[in-house]
Amino acid sequence: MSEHPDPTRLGREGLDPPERAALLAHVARCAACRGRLAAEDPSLLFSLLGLVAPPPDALERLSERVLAALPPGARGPRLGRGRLVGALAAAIVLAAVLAGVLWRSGAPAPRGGPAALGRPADVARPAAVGFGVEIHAPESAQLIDLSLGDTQLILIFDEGLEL
Amino acid sequence: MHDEAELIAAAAAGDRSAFDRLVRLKRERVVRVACRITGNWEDALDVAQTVFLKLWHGLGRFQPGRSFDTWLHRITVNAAIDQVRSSGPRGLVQPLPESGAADGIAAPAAEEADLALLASAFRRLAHGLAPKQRTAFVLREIEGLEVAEVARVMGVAESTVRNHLLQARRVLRRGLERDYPELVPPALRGTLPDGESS
Repeated sequence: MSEHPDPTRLGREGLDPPERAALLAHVARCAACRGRLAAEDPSLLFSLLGLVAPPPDALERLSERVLAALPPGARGPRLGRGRLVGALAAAIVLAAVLAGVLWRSGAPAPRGGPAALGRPADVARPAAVGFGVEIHAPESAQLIDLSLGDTQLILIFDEGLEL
Repeated sequence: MHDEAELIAAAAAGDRSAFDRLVRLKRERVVRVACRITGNWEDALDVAQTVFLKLWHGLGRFQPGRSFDTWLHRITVNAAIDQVRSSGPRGLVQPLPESGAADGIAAPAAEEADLALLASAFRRLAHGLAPKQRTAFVLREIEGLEVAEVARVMGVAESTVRNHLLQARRVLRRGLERDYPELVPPALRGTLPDGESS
């Protein structure tokens, strides 16, 4: 078995990370193997840059900067698009149910046959029920604003809210 | 010791301590990739900070079962390319330092590779590469990712990655021969690759 591994394997696929690290370490120390690698393709010498780590103090500074830049307060999982659509669908169903309840509470109970289903003029009915949905999406929360006539229902999904 | 999946799940649920450990686990590779694309450690640190903040906000959307590293590489590469594009003339035209001191690399012993010279040469010659060529080269040849993985990170076909690699190697070989002949074996000097003429 040769004392020198084949450095040109660095330019091929199929090296697992530990094998690659060992081969890089050898090539970095062995001028003969670097010569063979450069003879295959000089640009492959740049694979040795995989051995160059950032300055350790820079990495510590990075961690400090990242933690300092995180928004204050706890954070729950942010609503994904699928869950947001699900929440919206649930809100619309809820709104429809509420609209039905309001409508029925303002109408008389039906009497007799189908002819009696017409609404008498003297029965107080709610004003025309307006229905609207608004979605607000600020940075840290999603608000779903449902309006049903005079009734307003606001759903808040806030990842920064601490309860 | 937490395994990576547990750390990701805890960080996604808002555990800052788990997130900090996740950052510590991944920061070196993120900074290294960013540095090879942007050309310097300072920009790389800015990119890495952006990457980890995006990660914090986006972890809730990460789907377990997918490759976390692929996702992280993609965020890193996109942020680094944005940085290169936004730095404009500063990043592309300003002469780059010849010394490797900025990389914090010690002088090599006899027989050892001069990593400072290689880092300096790459920083200089990589400016002749399009951002996607540079990205493909960094991920495949420096970070050692398989072509299929590079394609997933870049969101392109494997054939496109191979084409970027071919172009990148060609530009780098010609640059080495022109500007760093001491790194090119004598037998190769004066021979242009792939039948090109100068």
